[in-house]
Amino acid sequence: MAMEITTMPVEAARDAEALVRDSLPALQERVFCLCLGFVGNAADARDLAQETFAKALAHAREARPQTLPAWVMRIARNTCLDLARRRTSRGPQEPVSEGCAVERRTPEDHAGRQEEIAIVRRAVVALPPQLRDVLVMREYGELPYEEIAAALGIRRGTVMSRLNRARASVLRFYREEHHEGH
Amino acid sequence: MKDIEREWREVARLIAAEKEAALAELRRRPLAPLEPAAAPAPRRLRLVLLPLAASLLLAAGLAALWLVRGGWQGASLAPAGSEILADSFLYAAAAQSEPLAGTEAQAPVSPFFTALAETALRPQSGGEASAAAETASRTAVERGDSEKVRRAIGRAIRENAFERMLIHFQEFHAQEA
Repeated sequence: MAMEITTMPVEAARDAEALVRDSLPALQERVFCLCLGFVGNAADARDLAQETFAKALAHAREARPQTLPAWVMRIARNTCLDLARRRTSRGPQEPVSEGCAVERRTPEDHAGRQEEIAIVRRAVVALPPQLRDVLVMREYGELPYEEIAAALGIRRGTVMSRLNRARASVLRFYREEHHEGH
Repeated sequence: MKDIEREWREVARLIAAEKEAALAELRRRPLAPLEPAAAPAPRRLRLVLLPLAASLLLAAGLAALWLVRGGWQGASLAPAGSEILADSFLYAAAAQSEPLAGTEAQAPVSPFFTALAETALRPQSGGEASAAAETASRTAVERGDSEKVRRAIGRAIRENAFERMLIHFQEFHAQEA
């Protein structure tokens, strides 16, 4: 009996670690995008995704197979919020350059596109935290409603209503900024 | 409502463009693979390696001894530490300073030891003892000449002097009382 008590947690920890380790590559891009949504900067998002995976692996014992993606996303969100708290004075970051991933446009188009992305970025940053969490998880992390609800510990209906309010708020901001620009 | 959906699609396209640009960089340079948290492995390795290293050191020591002495028979003839250190400066200096220290600072002699030594040095037949020999014995004890005292005690033991010593102790205690 004593043998069971001493060996079981070790085996469980190994299983949990293997589970997390195997799942992380598939979640890599989603976690990265989620971090991008929170910090608006590819370099920081990269660091934060790496940090998220390290934390997930360190706390693998807490992972459950059914809720693993939501659990990892929650870690990513908390990691991003920690960074945001540390950097409150720096304000929103510049949006990433589209680089070679987007088709080449004229310099004017490119600059206009970058400006529009920057407006959206500012709109997301200006959202209240509760609305921003839901919007970033949905639009950047591409999480289904159920996983967002699990990650934030709220009901599915609450997720949907907050998402609608967040979108409306971003659109309002975007319209105002867009019209001012023109 | 349709306008909102259309506008949101435009915003969603911008978000997608931002993500795609960032992902392109991530795909070019993926995240560093996480180090395996194999903490128990080094410990297991240590448990195997340490005894192995100790065994190898022991074997090397034995082999060196065998090579130096030419066999196990001569192992007990290995030079003592004092022989090995005899050439060293500090050891030689310590050896020179030892007699000086011995003559200059003598430890106080216990009265119990004095009585024991006197008894041992006393000749078996009391009549034969000369005053000069007794004085010499006492001097040897008082000077702390341990070699002489040891020889005398050995002789007393060989001459079965325990009985006499006990008698003397009784007398000594009677006097003390």
